[in-house]
Amino acid sequence: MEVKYVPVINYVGAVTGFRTKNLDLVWFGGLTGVQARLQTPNSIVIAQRDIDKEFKSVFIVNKKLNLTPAKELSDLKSLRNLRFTFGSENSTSGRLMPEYFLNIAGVKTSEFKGKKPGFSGSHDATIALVNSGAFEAGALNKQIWEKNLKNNPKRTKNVDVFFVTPSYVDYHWLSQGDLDEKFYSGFTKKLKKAILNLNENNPNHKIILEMFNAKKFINSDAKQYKNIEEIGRKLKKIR
Amino acid sequence: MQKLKLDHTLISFLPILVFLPITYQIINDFHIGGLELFLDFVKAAFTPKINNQIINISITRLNETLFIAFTSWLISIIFGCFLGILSSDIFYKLIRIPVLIKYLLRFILNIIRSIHELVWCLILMQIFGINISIGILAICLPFIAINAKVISEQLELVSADLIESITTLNGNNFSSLITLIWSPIIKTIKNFGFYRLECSIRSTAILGLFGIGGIGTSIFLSFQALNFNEMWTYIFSISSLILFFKLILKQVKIQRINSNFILLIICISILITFYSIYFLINLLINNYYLSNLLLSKNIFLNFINLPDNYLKSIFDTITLSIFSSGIAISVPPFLLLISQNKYFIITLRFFAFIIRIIPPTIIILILLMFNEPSLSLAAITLGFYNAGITFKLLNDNLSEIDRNNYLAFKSIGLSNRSSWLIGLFIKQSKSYLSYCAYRSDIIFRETAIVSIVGSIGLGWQLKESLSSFAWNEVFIIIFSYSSIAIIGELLNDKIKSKLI
Repeated sequence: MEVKYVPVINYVGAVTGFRTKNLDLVWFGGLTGVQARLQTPNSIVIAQRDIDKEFKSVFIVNKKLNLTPAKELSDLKSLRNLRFTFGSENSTSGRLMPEYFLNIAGVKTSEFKGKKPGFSGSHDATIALVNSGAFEAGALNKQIWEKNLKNNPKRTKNVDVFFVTPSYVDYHWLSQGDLDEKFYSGFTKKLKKAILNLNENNPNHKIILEMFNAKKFINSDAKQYKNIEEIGRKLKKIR
Repeated sequence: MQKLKLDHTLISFLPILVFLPITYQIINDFHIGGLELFLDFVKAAFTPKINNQIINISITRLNETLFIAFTSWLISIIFGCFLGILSSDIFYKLIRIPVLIKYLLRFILNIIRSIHELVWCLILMQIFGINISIGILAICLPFIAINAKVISEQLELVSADLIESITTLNGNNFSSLITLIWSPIIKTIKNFGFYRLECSIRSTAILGLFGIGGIGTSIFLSFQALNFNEMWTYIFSISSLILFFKLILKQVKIQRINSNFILLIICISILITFYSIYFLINLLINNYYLSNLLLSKNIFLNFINLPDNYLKSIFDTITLSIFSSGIAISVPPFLLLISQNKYFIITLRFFAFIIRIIPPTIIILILLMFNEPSLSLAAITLGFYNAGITFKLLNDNLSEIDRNNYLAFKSIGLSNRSSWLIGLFIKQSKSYLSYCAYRSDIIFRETAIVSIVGSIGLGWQLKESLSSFAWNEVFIIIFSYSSIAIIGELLNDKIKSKLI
């Protein structure tokens, strides 16, 4: 069977591509997955990575600030009046959840320097911008932070972790609900099985799993994302 | 001795005052945090990444860019001519159909034209998904309306005497119409139509930054990964393409065309017209999301649920437009007044070229390494980007006029600056200001580009509302954009008519 990879460079584009049925299977973030499901009835949550059921974001700061790392959520107040950047506007770990935790700590985004946060566009760009000093603080996906820490010490040399957020559910595979009709009966089940059966002991499978920074994929359910939907509605990212 | 008249001249310089609030804010928000990144960005311009892979990507992306740009240009010229004729007075003088159609058509075209292609692109991408045909459609919509306006304005210049004499000679009204409009249309395509191809290439590159494909997408992806060497390779590729087209189009001369060629053009135009209409109908009919959206309640102008900071966004957008126009109008004459040294002018021309080729989206992202996102930062970006264009126009026009007066004033002992002002600029100030009034219409529409990235005004609000799929907010923002653009255009028309 021929599989076509369609690169989509923005989050909203992936949601629209899925809704317009130009995409059959998409690797969505928590928020965009919910947006896509709300706009595409009958779509099916296929799987998530082992790390996605307890995913975390990190708040990072430039070392020049000499900020003592936060011990608890309310310490995020120290980020007020700093030049702060999120990642992409619709990123769950780079915007939605960090903004949610900031709100819980009593920090409004209008309290950052310049009365608004920046949006770097990606997790890697957030690290680079905080590392360079263009922004004094930022928030991103913990997994990408750890990967950069390991593989790119130059890019992280001026950055300290300020706070690691509590966990939440994030990324997942979402498929169209009519793939059985489109291809053949039992297709969706077979697809799910293929993803869940990826095993890091198999060299070919390992390549795929490493790309996803996962040890394996696990079963997932739309109900797990109810909390993300509520937070999305609270922060007006879902209407 | 000629008396110094400062009316138009003074108006050309006065907008420099916008630098007072802008400089104050920029200085207040300045920081050197991004210096290291900025130096990397500048250094990378001298060492663009060149290898087989990058060259292949550049060629593929330039092909996509050319395809989108050329197709959009061709369709917008064909439909622009057709709708331009349909919305011109001359058509209704010769063909007996209700004049109401003309007013209705002009109204619709005004609305379509008032919205920048980037805004069209973001909305269409949200409804129909990301693909090349959506990019073409997004460029075509405002371009068709712009071309139609220019064509109909040119047709208004056909004299009443000529209309009368042709209709007397020629019994058939339709063939009289063709005879009367043929020459002005060909002249407009020659003078204006080919220039629109360059505009189409620039617009494709900007839309690419937002994901539609082509070289712009590669520029954006390499910028986002802070891979500046690669980004410069793509910027140089698109600049070379634009320069190449400029050279080619300078050589194009439409002189006598034989009738078979005309027939061929008409046949191709008819085919493209039918295919475009078929494509559009197909797109609209098969999109249930769009039909559900249009049928849903509270979508259109639901002013009860206004976007957050709606009024502030409008105020910021108008202020951004005024500040940017101020910079675009006053900076070129001010710089030329400073010195007429040949090398200084060559340097200015070089910088004006550089600032025109780097997309404003990238410029503002670079400036954000040193400054907070602010209205002034967005105004500096948009203002200088347009000053690059107004500078080119002013400098080209000044180099074409007779320099005897300038030399005479110098010979009687006036300083270089006074001689330039009285002997050269004063002759050009009226037409320069008239062009600037037209440019400020464009600047308002272009506020969308910088405000989306610079976290300012309606553009930013539009992006937030689109990413939340809040369609009622999107409609309010589009309505506001369109209304302000149309009011601004009416005001500018009054200014232009006073200047001419």
